[in-house]
Amino acid sequence: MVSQRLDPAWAWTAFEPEGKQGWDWGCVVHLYRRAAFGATWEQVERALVLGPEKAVDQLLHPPKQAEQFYTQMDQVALALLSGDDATNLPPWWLYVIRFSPDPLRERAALFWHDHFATSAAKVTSGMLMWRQNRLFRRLGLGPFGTLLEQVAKDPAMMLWLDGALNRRRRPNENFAREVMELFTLGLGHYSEQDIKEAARAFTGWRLRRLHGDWEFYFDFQEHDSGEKVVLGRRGRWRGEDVLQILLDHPATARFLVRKWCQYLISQQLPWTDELIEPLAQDYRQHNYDTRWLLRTMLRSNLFYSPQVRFQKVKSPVDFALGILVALGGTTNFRTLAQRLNQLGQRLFYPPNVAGWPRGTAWLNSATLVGRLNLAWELGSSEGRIPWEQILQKHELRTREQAAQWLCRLFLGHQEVASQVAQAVPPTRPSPQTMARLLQALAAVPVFQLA
Amino acid sequence: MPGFHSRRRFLQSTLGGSALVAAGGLAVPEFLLRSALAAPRQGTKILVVVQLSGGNDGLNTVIPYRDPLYRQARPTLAISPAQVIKLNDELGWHPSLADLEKLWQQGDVSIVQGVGYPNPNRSHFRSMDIWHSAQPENPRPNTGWLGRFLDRSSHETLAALHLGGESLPLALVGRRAAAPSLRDPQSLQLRPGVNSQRLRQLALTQQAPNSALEQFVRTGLLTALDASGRISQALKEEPAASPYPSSSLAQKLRTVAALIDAELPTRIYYVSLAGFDTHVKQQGAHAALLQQYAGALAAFAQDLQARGHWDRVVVLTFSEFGRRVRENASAGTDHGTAAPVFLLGGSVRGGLVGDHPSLEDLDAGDLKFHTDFRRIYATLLEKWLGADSQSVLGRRFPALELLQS
Repeated sequence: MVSQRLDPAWAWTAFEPEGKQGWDWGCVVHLYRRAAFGATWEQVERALVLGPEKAVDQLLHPPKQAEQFYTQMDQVALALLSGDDATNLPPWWLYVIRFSPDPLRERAALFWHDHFATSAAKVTSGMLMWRQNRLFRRLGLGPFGTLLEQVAKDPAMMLWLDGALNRRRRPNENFAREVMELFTLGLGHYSEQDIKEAARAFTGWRLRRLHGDWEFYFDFQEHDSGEKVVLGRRGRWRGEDVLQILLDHPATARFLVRKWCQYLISQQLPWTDELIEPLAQDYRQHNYDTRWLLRTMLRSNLFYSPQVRFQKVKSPVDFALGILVALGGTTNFRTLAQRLNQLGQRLFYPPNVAGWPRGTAWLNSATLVGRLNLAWELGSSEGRIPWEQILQKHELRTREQAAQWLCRLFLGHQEVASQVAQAVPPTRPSPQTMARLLQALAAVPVFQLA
Repeated sequence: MPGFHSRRRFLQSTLGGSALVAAGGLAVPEFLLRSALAAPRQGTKILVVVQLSGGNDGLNTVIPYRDPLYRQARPTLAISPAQVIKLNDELGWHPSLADLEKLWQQGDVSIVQGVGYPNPNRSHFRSMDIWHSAQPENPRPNTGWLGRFLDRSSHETLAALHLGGESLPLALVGRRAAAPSLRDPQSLQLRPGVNSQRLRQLALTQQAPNSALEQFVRTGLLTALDASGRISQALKEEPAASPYPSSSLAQKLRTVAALIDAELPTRIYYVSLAGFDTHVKQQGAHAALLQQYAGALAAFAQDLQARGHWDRVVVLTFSEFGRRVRENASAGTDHGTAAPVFLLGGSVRGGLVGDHPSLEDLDAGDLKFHTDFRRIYATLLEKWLGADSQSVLGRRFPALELLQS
C-alpha cells in the first residue's frame, strides 16, 4: 500500500465520528480485535451505542467484578504451582485471557511479557515466572519507570539475564546489554563502552532466599562503587541511576511508542520519527503513563482510519482466543496450549530475549495448515462453542445467513460471505456446518489479520 | 530400487495437485502451476544449512591446544591436549566431536578458520541478521542471501524448505515468496473439515487487493496447501537406511534425508540447533550440544552415503559469532567475534582453510577475523548452486578452495 505522508497532528487527534458513517460495526470490531481479544455480538452492539469515547474508556476502566475474578485466578495459580511446575502456566494464562472482564489489562500484560521476554526454559521456577507475570498485570498500564525498575529487580529476570551473577571483579554484561538494546533505547543509541560501564553499575544486585522465596537485595561488598560514564553522564552510578539515565534519554520513549504503535495500530505503516515524536514527547511528559498512551492511541484518528485496518498479523493467541471470545466458547486449555506451542507461541516460554518474532514471521506453511486445523478443532465437537444457542438466538436459518453472521462478527463486514457459504451444503445450518463455515472463514486471507 | 518408487509416487502426487489447481476455475498464480507440473531433477546439487544459534564458542570447538595463551584465557574451560581430537600438531577438535572423526579422515570435512566480518556486532539478532542477509551495511535487511538466490533461480514452491519450530530464517526470505516451513512431519497434514480444494478457492478470495499483507497471507496459504499434499506423500516413503540418534537435530536431518531421497525438487534445506549462548557454566552444556551436532551429522552422512546422495550434498554449519577469548566469572563466555565454519559432504575438499586467529593479537579481547563469511557464500553460490554470486551478494567476493573441482 502506498501511504501518503501522514500529518501527525491529525493522526493523534481524537476521532470524532460524523453522522452514521463514522462509528460502525467495522470500527467496533477493529477496536476489540486490537485492544482486547475480540468481542461477542452483544458487546459489539453495546459499544455501538456508547460511541468511541465511552467504548475506549470502558476498556480502560474495568468493571468491579474484575477484582474478584483476579483474586480467584490467583488462588487457582497458587494451587497449580504447588509443585513449582511452570508448564502449568500457559494453560492458566490462556484461561485468564479468555474469561477476564478486563481484556486490555491482559493485552498489556502480553505486550510486556513479549517485551521483557523472560522464559521459564531457563528460569525453571513456575512460582517466579508467575510473580513476574503478576507484575505485568499490576503495573502494565502504569508508569513505565516503575515497571522497568520492578522488572529489573525481579528474580525471574535476574536469573534469565544472569543479573544475579554480576560481580564486582567480573561484571556480567548480559543484563546491561539487553536493558539498552531491547528494553529501553533500542539498537544504535549506545556504545559497547556504555554496556561495560552500566554492567559495573549493576554489580551488587543479587538474589537471596528468604523463607523459601527468592528476593532481590543489594550487596554493597560486590558493588563497584567507582565512577562510570553512561551515555555521556559521569557519576558513581548504581543500577537505579542507570535505569533513570535510560528513562531520561529521548530514544527510550520513541522506542516504546513505536513498539506500541506496531502492536496496536499497524505493522505495515512506516513509523517515521515525525509521526512518533509528538506522542513520545507527551508520553515522557506524562511520566511514561502507559494508560495515557493507550487511551490516546485507541482514541486517535489514525487508529480508526481504513489504512490501518487488517494491517497486523494475528498472533497464535489472537487467532485462537479471538474465536473463543467472539463465539462465547471454551475448550480444553491444556490442549489449546499445546496447539499454540505448535503454532509458534508458548506463553511463558518466548524463544529468546527479543520475544516472539512478529508480523509475517508467524506465518509459514506449517503454521497456516495448523491454523486451519485449529479452527476446525475449536469449532467442531472437540471444542465447546454454543452453536445451538447461537443459531437459535440469531435466527440463522440458511447457510448464507450463517456465513453473513460469522463474517460480520469477525471481520465487521460481509463482503466475502457468499464465498464462505459455499463451503457447506445448502441445508439448514447445524453445529457441524457452523464448524465448517468457521474453518472456511479461516482460509480467507484477511481472517489471519487483525 | 527405492529411488524409482519414490519418484513415481512423487509424480503422482504432484499431478494430483495440478488437477486440483485447474479445477478451481479461478486465477491461479503462475508459479503454483509451474511448481505442480515441474518434474524433479535427479542428481541436483543440494545445500543443507545447519545453524548453531546463540554464538558457538569457536575457540573450544577447534582448539589451539598447544597455545599457552589458550590455557591462560580459559582457566576452567580449557580442554587439555590429552582430550582433544588432534587435527594436526597445533589444532584439535573438542572431544564431543568424536563422531565426525571418520568423516574428517575421509576428507569430507572442510574447516574454515577465523570467519567473520568487519566491525563485528555482538548482538545476537543483529549479527544473525548480518549472517542471514549478507548485508552488514543494511541496518534493517528484509531479504536473505538464499532468498535472493531463490528469487533469481526458481519458481518452485518447494525450492527451499525450513525444518523446525522456530520462525522462518531471514536467510530464506526472498522478495517474491518465503520458503515453506515444516515443524515436524505431521504438522502439514490437513485435518478433515472443508476439503483442500475448497480451501484453496477461499484463499483466493480477495478483500483489499492492494494490501501487501493480505497478498502475503494468500501466497502463504496457497503454498501451504500445495506443500501439505506433496510432503505428506514424500514422507510415506522408506525409512532411513541407517539408524539416527533421538536428538531433535538428528530427527530433523532424518526427515531431510527422506525428502532428498524422495527426489523432492528442494535444493536448500535449513535446520537449527539452539542453546549456544553459554554465559554460565559452559562446560557441560557446550559438550552436550557439540555431541548432539556430531552424532546427528554422522548419522546423516552415513544414511546419505548408503542411499547414494552424499556426493551431491554439502552441509554448511555456522553460528552468528564466536565468544570472548577470556572466560567470564560464571565459568562461561560472553559474546565474541570470529569463529570457524564447517562444510561437510562427499564433494567437499577436506582440510583446514586459513590460519587459526592469533590469541595474542586481539581486538579488545576478541579474535580478529581473516576470512569474510561472504567468501564462503560466494563459493557455494558459484561452485555449488551454479549462480552468479555478485547479483546475490551485491559485490564480488573471491572464492575459496572448499569444493573438489
